[in-house]
Amino acid sequence: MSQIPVLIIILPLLFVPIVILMRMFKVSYLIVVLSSVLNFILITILTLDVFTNGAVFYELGGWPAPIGIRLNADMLSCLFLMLIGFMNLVCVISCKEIVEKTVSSSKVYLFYTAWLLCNTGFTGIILTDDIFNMFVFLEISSLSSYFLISQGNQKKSTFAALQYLFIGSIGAIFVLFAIGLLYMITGTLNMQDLTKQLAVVEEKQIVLFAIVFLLVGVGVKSALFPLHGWLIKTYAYSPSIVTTYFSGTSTKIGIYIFFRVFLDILNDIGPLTLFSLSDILIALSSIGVVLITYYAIKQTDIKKMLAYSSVGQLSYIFIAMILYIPDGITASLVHVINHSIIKTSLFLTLTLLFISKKEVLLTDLAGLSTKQPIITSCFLVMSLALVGLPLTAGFISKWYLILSLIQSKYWMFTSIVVLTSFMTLFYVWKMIDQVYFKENSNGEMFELKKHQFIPIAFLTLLIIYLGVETSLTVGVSQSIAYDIIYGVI
Amino acid sequence: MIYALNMILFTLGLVIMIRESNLVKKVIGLNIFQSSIFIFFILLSKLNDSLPPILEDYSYDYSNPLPHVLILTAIVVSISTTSLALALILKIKKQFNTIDEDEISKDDQ
Amino acid sequence: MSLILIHLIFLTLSLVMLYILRHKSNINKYHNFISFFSFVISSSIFLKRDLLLGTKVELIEVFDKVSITFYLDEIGIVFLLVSNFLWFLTSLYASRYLVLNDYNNQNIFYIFFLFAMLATNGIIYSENLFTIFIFYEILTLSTYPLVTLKKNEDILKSGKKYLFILLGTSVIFLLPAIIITYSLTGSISFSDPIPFSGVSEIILIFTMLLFIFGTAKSAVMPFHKWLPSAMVAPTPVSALLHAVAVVKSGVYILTKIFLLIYGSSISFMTSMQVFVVLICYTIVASSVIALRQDSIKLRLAYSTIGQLSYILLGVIILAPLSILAALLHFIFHAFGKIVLFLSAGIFATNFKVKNVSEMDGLATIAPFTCFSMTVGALIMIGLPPTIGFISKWYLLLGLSSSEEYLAISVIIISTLLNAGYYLPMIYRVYFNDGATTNSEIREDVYLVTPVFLVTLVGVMMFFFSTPIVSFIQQIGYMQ
Repeated sequence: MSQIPVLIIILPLLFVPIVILMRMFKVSYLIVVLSSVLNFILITILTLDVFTNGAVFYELGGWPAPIGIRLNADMLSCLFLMLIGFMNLVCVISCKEIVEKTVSSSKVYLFYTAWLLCNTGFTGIILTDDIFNMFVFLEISSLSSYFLISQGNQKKSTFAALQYLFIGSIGAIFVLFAIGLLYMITGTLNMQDLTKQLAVVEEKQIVLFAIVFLLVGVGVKSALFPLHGWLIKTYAYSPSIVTTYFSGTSTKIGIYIFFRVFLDILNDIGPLTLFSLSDILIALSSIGVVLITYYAIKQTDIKKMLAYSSVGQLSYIFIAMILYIPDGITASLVHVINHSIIKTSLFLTLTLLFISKKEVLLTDLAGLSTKQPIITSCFLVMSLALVGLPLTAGFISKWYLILSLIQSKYWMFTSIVVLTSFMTLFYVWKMIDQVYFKENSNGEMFELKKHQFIPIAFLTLLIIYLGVETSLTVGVSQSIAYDIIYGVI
Repeated sequence: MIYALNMILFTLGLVIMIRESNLVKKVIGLNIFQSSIFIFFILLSKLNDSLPPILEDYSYDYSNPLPHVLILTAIVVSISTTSLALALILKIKKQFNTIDEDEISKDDQ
Repeated sequence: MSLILIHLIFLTLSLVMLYILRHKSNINKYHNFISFFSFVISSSIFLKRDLLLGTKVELIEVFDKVSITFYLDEIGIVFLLVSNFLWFLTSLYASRYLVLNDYNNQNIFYIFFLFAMLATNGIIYSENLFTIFIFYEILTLSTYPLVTLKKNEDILKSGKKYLFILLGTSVIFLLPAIIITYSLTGSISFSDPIPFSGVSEIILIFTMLLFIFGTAKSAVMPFHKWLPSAMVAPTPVSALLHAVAVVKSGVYILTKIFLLIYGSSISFMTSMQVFVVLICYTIVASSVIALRQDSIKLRLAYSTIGQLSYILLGVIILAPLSILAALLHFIFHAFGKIVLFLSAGIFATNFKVKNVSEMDGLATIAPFTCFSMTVGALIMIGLPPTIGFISKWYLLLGLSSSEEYLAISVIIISTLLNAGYYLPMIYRVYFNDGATTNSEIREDVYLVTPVFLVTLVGVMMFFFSTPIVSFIQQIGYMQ
């Protein structure tokens, strides 16, 4: 049996003690890069394997499934693994100078340790086939992310981290409670086994109870409106590279758990049809998306604006997912990928432009176009992708989102989504307005080296590529969606 | 009955976390909250008149050992959460000279 | 390789070349050359149309049955020739105009002008709604820098209005309409559309309404405000883009949607009377507003809004004669309006005349310009011996064959109103004595020549209108 699935989790974990013991920030950076590259290579190999030969199960210690702990790599997990691995790689490659400038040098190695742990947690959540292990990995990633956030160079960073800790812990405990409830009625923790057991279970109320707790718990993690408060603060106050990293991974992990729990484990019960939960959630998300977009327009701090925008886009992902039709699930998966790439690239550009700046206000962007014409064009493409204009990745997800809403005949929600996606233009315009039409007021800005262009340009090209050639995103998402709904690939 | 008491503990913890503005008290609330879930798991494992799951020569009804093991892990997680929270509070105390949430929020606005 | 692709690749490469050469002072020469060559290519496409018609060039399939594909049909050829010919002449005009008006960022002008024309040609060649949507948005984005070429507070404000109305309507109405069509029929292609079957009339009407509002470039009220806003742009932009390329793109898209996508499965329904009323309202309202404008360019802009609605009216009735009229007016209005705008540009550049009230006596110092303007105005009113008369004639014939008496009366009222705001202009330049009469300044030769050329072609078309009419009558969907 191939050892790749477990290596994906173990390898970064093995590097953690090395980083701690070495205590040197140059070396620790190299180790993190090494680990990320290896991780990404392993993920790619695994993904190729899964896409050609079907799902891979890895039994830890050779114990068979319901008793032993298993890792499960199917197409859904591979999609998210690729995403996380890629985002991690991009952030790690471009983070050296940023970390050196923002984190005090005595703590750099600890910062990298936490980073590795966080990534381990993410991959663990995705790969595990054991619902309790999912909780453990969730906590691993959360605890390390609390630390990462607290390393921000703003006064409120620590406080933001603590607040996230409180909210995150409550969410995690809710999840744990739900796991307990599920265990109570089925006596198993293995996901596949759980699916089988739940299909014959009698106590529907307890299942519903568990579903509600899971919903809240995971909702916190994935910043589902109205549980999004922490996300704004964390994005605004954590080190900007951490924001960049989290924008593409952290909330997407929440979405993954949603997919895994609601559309895989609990799929047979149709968790969303109980008590017309789906209608409630769609309505809630739609209200959310309107409010959030409104808040985003009002912001003057770019990080906060983009954070609100993230919450709004996450609501789109939820709406599409909850529709529970093939095109809806395709839309939500495609948007997970596209939005991750778009948002990460936007944050990365801002981070690289304003490495040592604490707070990035809209007015700080003024005059960018004259000083950095190439970066500006990249930035323009990213912004337009966020609005969802054609030839960019954002358009593809928007197309599928609207298509699925129309197919479900939710006319009102369709109009809300269409209107809010137009409102996106308002806050994106505020950035473009500054970039192109305002004169630069202060001269001290845009410390950007040549080699830092590379990740930005690469991501920009990727955004355009994914807007034209969609077999990687739409093709894969579609087969997952059909698998979820009809049970066949 | 014990389940009901447990739920009271659960609610109590949650209420403390929401109501208190003192950060340390919040951590205490979090601990109570977590403990209630731990107890819930342990309760699950208990069968009628079962004994602790310790391997001995003769057979008898013993509790399900799995939840115990799970909770052991969860307790470790809980301890690390608590310690991280306390460490963060110490840092906050240094920065803001207070550990009251309302005063911190008032600060620098 | 298909000529279509050659044309588009040529334009794209030229765009890259212009960008590389953006610091050269003679960038206008390159632009003239490019536009001339583009006209040559489109003429050869016209001559070889029998080979090209209906051949599809698929660039890339983006996802299931949605692809970026190009092809050419008869309406496309008409638009292609008109826009590329006028582009060349406008380009000659522009290279002089920009110098006379001291525009210091000419490189931006030429790059984005070319970009806009690339997008226009892209729209012409689009085989499906997806491709058209892409180029539609590119056209909006590429004309924005042209509108805001001079960056002052007012212009930026107008520019924002321009961008937000055009982008907004396309995102809010057009995109959902395309997706609804896709979801109902499973195809968004023009060349082999799948008929709507079992779709309720309400949804059909609703989608059509979304399309009409979505292509705000066709300036149907209430989403017409961007066109007057766009008048802050330099005259060549107003002339070519906002009287021909951009607005005609909107009308072109709607024509194709109504004739090809809807026309294949439905005929005129009584509920479509809603659109007739909407369009009639636009015609009358725009003429009334135009009457009250003193600024020449604004008056022309509102006139454009009305004239575009003539075309739409002809299309939406879905009767052969009215479609013929619409397509004729599509061509003729382009010639008439561009002449009017370019003349207005000459008045503004040479004589600093921007308002109708200042036009008194201009004919003595600018005879050629005034002659061109008169021809343009007569085309707009639809009086013989100008081509405007032909299209109006067919439009009235088409309307009466469909018994659209409301529309007929609206056309008559609108003709009177048109006369009401164009004739005073003609009267002022020829028969009033103005302060400028004894001025030493004469009209600029380099500016007048292209305008006069267009005018001559316009006049000639009246006398050689039979081939044009018969060409359009041969178009397949006239039956």
